[in-house]
Amino acid sequence: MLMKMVGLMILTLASIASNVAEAQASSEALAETYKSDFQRPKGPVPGLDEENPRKQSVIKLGYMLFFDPRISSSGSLSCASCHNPALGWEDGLALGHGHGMKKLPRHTPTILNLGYSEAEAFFWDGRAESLEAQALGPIEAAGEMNMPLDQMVRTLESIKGYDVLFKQAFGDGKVTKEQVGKALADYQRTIVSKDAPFDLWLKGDKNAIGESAKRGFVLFNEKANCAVCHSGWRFTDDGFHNIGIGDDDVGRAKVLDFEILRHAFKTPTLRNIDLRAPYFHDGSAATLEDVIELYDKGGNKDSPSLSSEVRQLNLTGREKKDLVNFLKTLTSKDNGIVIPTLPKK
Amino acid sequence: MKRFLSYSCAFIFTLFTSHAYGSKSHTIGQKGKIFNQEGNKVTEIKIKKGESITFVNDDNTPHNVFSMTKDHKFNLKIQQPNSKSSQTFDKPGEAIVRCAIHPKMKLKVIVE
Repeated sequence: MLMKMVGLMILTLASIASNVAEAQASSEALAETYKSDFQRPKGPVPGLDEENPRKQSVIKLGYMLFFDPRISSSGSLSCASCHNPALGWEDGLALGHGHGMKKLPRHTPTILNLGYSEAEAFFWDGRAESLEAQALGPIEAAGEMNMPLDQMVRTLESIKGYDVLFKQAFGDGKVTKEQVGKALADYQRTIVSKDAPFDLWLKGDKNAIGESAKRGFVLFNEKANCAVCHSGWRFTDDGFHNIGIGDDDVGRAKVLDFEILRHAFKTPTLRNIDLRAPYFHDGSAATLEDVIELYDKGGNKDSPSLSSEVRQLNLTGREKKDLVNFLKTLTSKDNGIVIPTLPKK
Repeated sequence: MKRFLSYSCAFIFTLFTSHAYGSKSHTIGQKGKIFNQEGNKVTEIKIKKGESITFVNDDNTPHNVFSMTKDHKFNLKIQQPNSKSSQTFDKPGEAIVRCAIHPKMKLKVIVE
């Protein structure tokens, strides 16, 4: 009798083990079908592929300008004040703080991997058609760096150390706002995340990410429907979607007045997302778990423009954990940024 | 003579409709958030005045094709997957066509 019971138990355990192995094999097979959608493109960053001997000088100038607070009217805010490399090129605040430490209406988005964007629509609402235009926007915005661009040019002309940098970059040493925009844009194009554990897994290192993260990747592409917008190697379609945050900000519709774009905001990249809390355009989600909760319930608020891709997901507790664990595999160990010694007057 | 005249008229009418004022319809697909023709990515298409383009959404997500170019403004509004909508281009010139949801989908339509 005892022998029979032990035999039955062994058979049951073997059957469970076999089912688990089958489920794992099936999950791995599913994951394989999606891997190719997230491969990083080969070759240089678009816009940095020119055979231009001056390119390095333009980037060097942009690097100086990016960290220089003298291009703000208070002399205290640089681009890096909000796009802080130590915080995933964001500021760690729910809402950005601009001129006079006044709160801005939106969360500071990262500038990571922006050189790869093909959308010609930068900022949360896509109002800038180029990285060059985007770079100048916050400098002159009254709420942000509050610096009229003509005044910015005069300030830079008054700093003798910039003479040689503008000459090396653009030839004639003359300072123009267009050159400032170009230099800042090209510097931003160099800000690219390195391979994360997820990329190593794509390249064949089976142990680069854990089993929970692998399940999360399948959920990301299937049940949770994240990949429909967070697509491609940067995990963004550079598109505009109303995900049901429910605040009053009309977002993209202020730029392009279509009903579908009311309360729609640009899909943020998920690269290094673990370093970039809080989340959403209004910074209303403190953690990745909070983000998953919002999507799980299909948004906070229904409206005619709510994306049809946002719907109740009915994720289990384990599935939510798997998704968060997957998102954490997108963080790379990037090179530290050296803060430059700025040109003197 | 009467028959000759009617054949001539038909010939001239055919010439007019097929060349001076096109009636052909072109098809542009939308898949993987890319405009394509027969599966190949397309960024530019040349058509004749009066011809139309049928935009087919063969993607897994909605699209919204539109143009804000002067003389070519239109908005096909939301196109769900597996649906199609057509737009006729009546004036010569160039139109920049995009998807409002996914602005990286960009197509230059050259109307001759």
